[in-house]
Amino acid sequence: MQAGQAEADETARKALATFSETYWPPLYTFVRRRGYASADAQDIVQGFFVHLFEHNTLTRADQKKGRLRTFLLGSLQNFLLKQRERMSAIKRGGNQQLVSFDLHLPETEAAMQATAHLDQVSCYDLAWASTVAKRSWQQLHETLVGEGKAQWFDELKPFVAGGGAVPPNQEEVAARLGVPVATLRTWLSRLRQRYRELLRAEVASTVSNPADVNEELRYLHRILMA
Amino acid sequence: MSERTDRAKSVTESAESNNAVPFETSIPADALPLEAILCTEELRRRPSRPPDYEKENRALATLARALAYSPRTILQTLAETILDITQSDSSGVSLLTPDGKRFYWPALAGRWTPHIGGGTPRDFGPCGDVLDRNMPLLMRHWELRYTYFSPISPPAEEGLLAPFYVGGKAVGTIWVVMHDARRKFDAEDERVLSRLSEFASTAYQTLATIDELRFQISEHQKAERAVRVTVCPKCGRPLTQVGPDGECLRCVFDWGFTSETEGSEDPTHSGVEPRPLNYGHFEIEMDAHGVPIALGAGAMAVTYRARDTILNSIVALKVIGRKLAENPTACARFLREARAAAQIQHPNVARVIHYGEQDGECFYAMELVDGDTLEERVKRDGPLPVSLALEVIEQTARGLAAGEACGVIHRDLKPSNLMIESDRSGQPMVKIIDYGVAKVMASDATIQTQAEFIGTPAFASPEQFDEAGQQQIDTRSDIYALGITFWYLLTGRTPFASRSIEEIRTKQTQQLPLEQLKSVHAPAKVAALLKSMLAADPARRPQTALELLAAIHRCYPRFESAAHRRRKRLASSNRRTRRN
Repeated sequence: MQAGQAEADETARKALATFSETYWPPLYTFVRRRGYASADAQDIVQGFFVHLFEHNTLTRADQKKGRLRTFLLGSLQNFLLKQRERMSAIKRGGNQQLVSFDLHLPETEAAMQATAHLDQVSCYDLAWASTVAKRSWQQLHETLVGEGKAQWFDELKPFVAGGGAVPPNQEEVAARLGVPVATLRTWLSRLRQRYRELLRAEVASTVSNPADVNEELRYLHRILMA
Repeated sequence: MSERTDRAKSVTESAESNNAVPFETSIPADALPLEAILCTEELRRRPSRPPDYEKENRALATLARALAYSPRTILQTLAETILDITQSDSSGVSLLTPDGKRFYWPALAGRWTPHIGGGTPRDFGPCGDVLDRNMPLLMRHWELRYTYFSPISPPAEEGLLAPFYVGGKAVGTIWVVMHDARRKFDAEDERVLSRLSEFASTAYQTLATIDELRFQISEHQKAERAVRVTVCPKCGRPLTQVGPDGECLRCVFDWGFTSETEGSEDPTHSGVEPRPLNYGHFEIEMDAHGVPIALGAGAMAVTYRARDTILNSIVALKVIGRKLAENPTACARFLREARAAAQIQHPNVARVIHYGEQDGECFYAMELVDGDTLEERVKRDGPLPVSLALEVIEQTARGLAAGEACGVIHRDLKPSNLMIESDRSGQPMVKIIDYGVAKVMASDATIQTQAEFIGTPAFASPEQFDEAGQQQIDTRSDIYALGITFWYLLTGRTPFASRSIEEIRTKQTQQLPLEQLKSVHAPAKVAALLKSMLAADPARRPQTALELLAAIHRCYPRFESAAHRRRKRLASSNRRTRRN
């Protein structure tokens, strides 16, 4: 019985850790944009997560949370308002780290510096949209790796991802892979279809009403492409 | 030149890392006084050569060139130029290390060249004395004073040294040495040395300034990069939202999102150019998202729906992968087979109408059959009724007979290479596709892929597995494959379903699993026909397609009348075609 309880606790802890890690960047960005120093912002977000989990807020809110994005932002704003009362929680959060965010800190800081012209909420939303894009993109990667298609994905990725490199030429890549250009295009289309499904699923997991998926997708797209 | 560059580079490195070399650090108290070896005054007394300005100008031009084209080796060029202009045995440049405690030799020419990279402590060598007196000095046998001088050979008979300034500060010396008494240095040597030293000083200072500027620029760029936002070359937006591998998350999201929204599809988002894909005068048809419409895809080739831009008709365009197209033998055979297949004009064979090569890809156009493959049909609707299966086999056998008359065998007959459509009267019409072409792809072992190889063995005849028998493959192999196809149409599976080729080969020689036929209530005559088509020994099968046709007709009397009606219909349709 005890072992079963321990196992359940461990599962819950892992789920919380994943949740925290996923939504840490937008929350941290928001607190930083409120003017807190990096170390303080880290403590506050940590404390905020502890607060959420201790009060079981997420579970309670799940049914009526509407959109997780706005729900978390609202909760964080409340949390900051009552910051003095929450100081103990922050301290506890600082000591009892749910998960290490060191990995995300540099890129989150860099992204934040680069969007200094945006207001706090836009900055939060932008970081949120990036998180959604990144998560579904990583899922696509993991799924394809699981199917033994890692190399295939690596070849097609540059057509999608932009970033540092200039988009490759389809004819050249097709020639290198030894397939007709038309085949390459078909592959790209299939990859896109799969990503589209994962992106939808990711957004669907953050809204309580399935009818809101399209609207949320459109909103995040507008934020990213602004 | 490059060797010299490397050497000059290594000089600095080794000299800077040589601080631990156990040299004496100062002149011992009992050392010979400097005056004992100093003979600078003699420069004024010795008869001097007349100045050779022409040679001097050439030397300066050499240095100027070195500064322009190879500034990093300017000191070595200086040493070599001095050696040449003074006709001395060795020459070099000694520079103080940044801490001012040691001299190192970044550039040497002449007989002391092997000592490049070496050095002495600041106060234990002639260079220190030159800097102390801040003037050119002439010395003879200086190893007499610097007793513990590191053994350098050959020793110096006479050496002339001048200070080397950078930014008004003496940072080293340039010098020339004679190792014997062949010639003595004179005032002209001193003048030339000072002149070249002056030039080299300016050059060196310029380089130092450039280095400093470069350093500043690079620091500035670093700082700028830290605050500057780069732009994604794909979407042109600030690259602020990046993924784990530097992906632009805006592009990634946009790529997944735009196809969600009708009308906002922009093929450039996925790197797909919107321009049409043409093979010769055939244009591949695209769907609403700009993606080519593929009718079928195998390991070696993909078939697309395409438009003949001249006749404005729709065709099936098969594009062969580059790996196959790059093999000249395979390519030639492909063309030969395509030519042969183009000869077959029969209603049950999808005709090859064009062959071409473009940008390393081979392609051919064939008649587009508006229907399903029999594989698709069986997978979708289950096994066919016996009468329809017989109809299919009969029509296929007619197509095979036409191929046989042209000397072409199919070699890869299977349900996915047979298409079924309805003719004008709604009757089923079978078309054999990929006639002759499959042979090329299937027989080229070097380009055959595992995926393709797995797909075909279930329909291959025993002799196709036998390497020694590869040359004897004829219509009887196609008849065997048609037998397996027939079995598949009746039962929805192949008789020798297996995971490995070896297992299939073993099963082929064993008893046929006739119970499969019983479960679909196949008449005994059909079972007998199948047994004959699937005989392991080719000699026991129907020997030609016509013989097979006769056997098919015999096995099912009711079929005779249906076949008769269809033959009449075909004959009249053929007559109409000929008239047109």
